[in-house]
Amino acid sequence: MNRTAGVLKMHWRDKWVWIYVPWVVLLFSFAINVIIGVLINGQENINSGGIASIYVYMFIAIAIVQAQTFPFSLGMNIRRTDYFIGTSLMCLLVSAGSSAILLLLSVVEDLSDGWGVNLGYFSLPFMSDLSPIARYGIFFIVMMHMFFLGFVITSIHRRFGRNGLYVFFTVMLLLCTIGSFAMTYYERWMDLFIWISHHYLGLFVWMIPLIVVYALLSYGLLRRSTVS
Amino acid sequence: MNPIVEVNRLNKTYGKDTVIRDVSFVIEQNKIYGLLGRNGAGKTTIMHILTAQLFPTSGDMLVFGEKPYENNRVLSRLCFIKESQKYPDSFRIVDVLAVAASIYPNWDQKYALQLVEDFRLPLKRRMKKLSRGMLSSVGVIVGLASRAPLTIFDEPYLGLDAVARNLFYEKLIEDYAEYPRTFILSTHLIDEVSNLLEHVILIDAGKILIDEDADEIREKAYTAVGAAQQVNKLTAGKKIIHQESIGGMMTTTVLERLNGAQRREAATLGIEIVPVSLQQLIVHLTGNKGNGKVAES
Repeated sequence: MNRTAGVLKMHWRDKWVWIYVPWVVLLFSFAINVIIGVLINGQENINSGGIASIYVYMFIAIAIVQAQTFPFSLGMNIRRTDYFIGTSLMCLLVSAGSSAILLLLSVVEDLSDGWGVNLGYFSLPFMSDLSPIARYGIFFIVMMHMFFLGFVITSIHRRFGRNGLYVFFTVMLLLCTIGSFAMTYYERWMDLFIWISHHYLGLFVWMIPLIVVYALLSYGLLRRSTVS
Repeated sequence: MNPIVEVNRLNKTYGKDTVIRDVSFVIEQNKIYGLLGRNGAGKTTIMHILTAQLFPTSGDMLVFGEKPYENNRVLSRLCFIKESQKYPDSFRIVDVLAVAASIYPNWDQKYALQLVEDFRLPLKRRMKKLSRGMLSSVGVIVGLASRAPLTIFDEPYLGLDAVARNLFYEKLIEDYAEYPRTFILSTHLIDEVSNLLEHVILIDAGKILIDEDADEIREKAYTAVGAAQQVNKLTAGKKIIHQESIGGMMTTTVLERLNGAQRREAATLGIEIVPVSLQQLIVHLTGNKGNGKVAES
């Protein structure tokens, strides 16, 4: 009996949190944007950025999912490794599926001139020159990044408790403060913005090693986690 | 003699608190064990360590001859039902059973559904909305239907009414007879399970006090019932655990094995010898009075 499959099945039983709720949230936000577009008769281009809602949702969802399913899985005598692999696979499947739908909607959006009302919702401004594969890649990588970022933060909490998170966020805050102070002191902010405006596609590529790092960290933390 | 669990000098400390102190014991195949002790004695901690959900501070243990940590050969033969088990918020009883079915190799779905009916559980209700007793019933069902070679129940009866508890004992004995396996029951309702238990491990303050067959333990003490004068004569100078008298009658419990001569003496004095309940014995042994200290009478 493959227990990773058991973990996958466990997640699959909770379609609400993984599939229905994020799309209800996203489509609701989309509907509002369409209504606004209709009301102003498409006379202005709208680039709403509402697509971010599904990504923020996934970041929060994985934290809730892990907090609830990890103790349950260990209680069912599942290995931590199997839990990690099964949950990662679920994130991969959901990211792959969601990205396919996002890609489809972004293509429809381009073909229909922004749903007939010049609405840019699924197709982001910089995406117009990109191939469908590159678009899909961006949707997919960003979602995986959100999942594993949420996963690693929850794993810190699982392993080191609330105090672990306090220490983690304090250190992060300190690093950011020092970094931003240094940037101001050496007057490098403009350089950074210019660099980003030329290399923003590179940012997505750089998320791939980040995802790997988050995943390895999460796995290491969960291996030493206990439940009671 | 077929040990499936071997624990050797297990210790668990939290900072300066020692929860488990040099605990060693062996669990043999196809027996029903009772892990008894007061609240906070360390029962639950030991079971968490056995199932690799907690890590010991020192000491080692083998379950089915191997270390249980991240080991599917061990974990797939285990089922640990604990009172504090948490379930995902969205899960209904039917979801828990479905997940259990896909995880436990020996799972018997028909039997599980039969038990759901016996315990009168609403299959479609969310775990969050269940009463304490119903929650315990779900645990009992998962534990029995998993048919795991080593099934561990930690306080399985919390919130169960007398009818449901009896049902549990009945089903456990029934299924044990049909599919022999090893059970470890931890509880403080000692009297109710004492007939079930074949072997008792008694823990107090993180240490093992007793590790013996249940029958052996029962013979460690006896209760003499008879006329006060005669009873006093028989029990003079012995370790008296408990004593009460009504009118001229006296009931005295003595911590001592009764030999043939004493039995004959009791008979000639007209004293009735009654076996001591496991509960009485354990209350005495783990009471604040200290081990084996003579009770003031």
